[in-house]
Amino acid sequence: MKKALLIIFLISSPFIFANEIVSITYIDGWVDVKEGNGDIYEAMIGDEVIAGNSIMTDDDSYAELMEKTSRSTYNLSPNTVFTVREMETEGSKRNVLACTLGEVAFKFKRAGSLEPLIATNSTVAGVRGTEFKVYAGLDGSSLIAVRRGLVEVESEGVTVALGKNEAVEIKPGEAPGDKFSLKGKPLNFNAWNGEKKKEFLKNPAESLKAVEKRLDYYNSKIEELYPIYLEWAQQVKDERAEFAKIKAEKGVAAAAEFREKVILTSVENTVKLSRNVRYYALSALSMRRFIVGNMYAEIKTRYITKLDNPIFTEFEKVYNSFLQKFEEVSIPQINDTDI
Amino acid sequence: MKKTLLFLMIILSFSVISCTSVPYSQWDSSAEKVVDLINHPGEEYLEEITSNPFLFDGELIVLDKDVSMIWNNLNRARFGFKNCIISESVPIAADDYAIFADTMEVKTFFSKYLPEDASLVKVESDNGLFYLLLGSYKYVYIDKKIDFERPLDLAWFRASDLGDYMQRNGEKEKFPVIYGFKGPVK
Repeated sequence: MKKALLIIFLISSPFIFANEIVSITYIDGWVDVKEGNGDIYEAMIGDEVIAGNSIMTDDDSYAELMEKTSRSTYNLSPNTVFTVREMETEGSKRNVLACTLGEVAFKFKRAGSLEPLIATNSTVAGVRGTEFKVYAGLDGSSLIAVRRGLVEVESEGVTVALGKNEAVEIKPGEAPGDKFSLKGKPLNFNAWNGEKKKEFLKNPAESLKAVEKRLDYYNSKIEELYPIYLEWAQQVKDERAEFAKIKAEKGVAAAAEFREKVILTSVENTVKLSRNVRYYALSALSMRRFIVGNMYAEIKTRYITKLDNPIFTEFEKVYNSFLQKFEEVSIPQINDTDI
Repeated sequence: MKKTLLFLMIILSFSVISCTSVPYSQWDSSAEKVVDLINHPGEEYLEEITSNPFLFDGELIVLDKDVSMIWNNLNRARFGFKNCIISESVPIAADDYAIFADTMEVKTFFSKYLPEDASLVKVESDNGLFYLLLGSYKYVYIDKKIDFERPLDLAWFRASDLGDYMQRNGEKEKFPVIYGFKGPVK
């Protein structure tokens, strides 16, 4: 019995033996690591980064990370927030590398196992042995530019395949735009992000509405998966009661067989669903923290002496609507250790 | 003569005891220093004494560049507490988080990130009611030659130069760390 409980406990506690997914191989300037429990410390070369951690560069710092198994490298430019997460896809656990803000250059090497997904606040991309850059703008927009290989970009149910020297921009809550050729078009993150800021300041309420659409997507996934998770969790509870009954009536061997064939599968399904619910909730939290928090602070401080200005009041309406949805659906899936 | 000396010693002892028992963040002079920095162009110093994370209304700000943006924007908007009085500077009470926002995030911020000696400062001004969250002190190099009555021209400084300049020419001064800003409260 004790052994059975231990096995169940280990399966349902993935973070106890969390794998170090990437290590920090180079740092220039001050770089922070924010742990899943909210603690922030200065990153050092050689530090291991596990799922749930974020790496944050500041105005004039850079970092290079290396994925442990494939030796793929990720270069983080200044003012970038990069988070490592996990989710279940195609029946197995997959790493998700989330560029929430800033610029990351990815250089992938084949590792045999499932390649990670790349996520921003507006899209998810699948990669196949490739070299590409991801820009994540302050308004939640993204731009993905491929130098080599193939990247499939998905947003709002529409997928765009990008080949060598192709790029696409994705606005939050929208399908990917038209892809364009990178030939003769040098990309510059600061110039691109500067344009995003201009657009945001011109109509902050509209920009926030677009981000709210992305929150609607995360919330819809939570609302879809959480009831199924609860059903599985109840099933595990019922099966544990059944296990005790079998043990009492049919003996230890029959109970052990029931545990192997039935309970462990149910526990595994429960853990997978829980992981995905957490993935969407943490994505919503990250978007709220780095995109919406910045938008609110930017507009509130600009208009603090004229809070009756329609630009601020319109923005505030959308902001309150965003917060209400976030509080109702995302927050119940978030722990105080995530804050 | 002996009685007078004894009386003075008792008074002195009481004043020392009272000074040490009230945390620095709750001294009126601490709050006044922060209000002065906000009312005058002191954003370079404000950045230095702002905690990370920083609570701005109901938002937890975790990026240094966002903290800079907040103080710079307030300065550019010519924000200040007009004809203000610091009406309260008190220890944090259990329900104070709701003044900022009645959310799980803000409640967690109060329990997880505020130091035990933090204080809630209430600033009443012609342009509304504001709250500040202050914590234990930090030393900052202040350029005493800068006239705070005039706009501060730091354009010729690179941000990284400022720290070196202040260490050479500034005077070390104690400021409370700012953990939060809220307002104007409607």
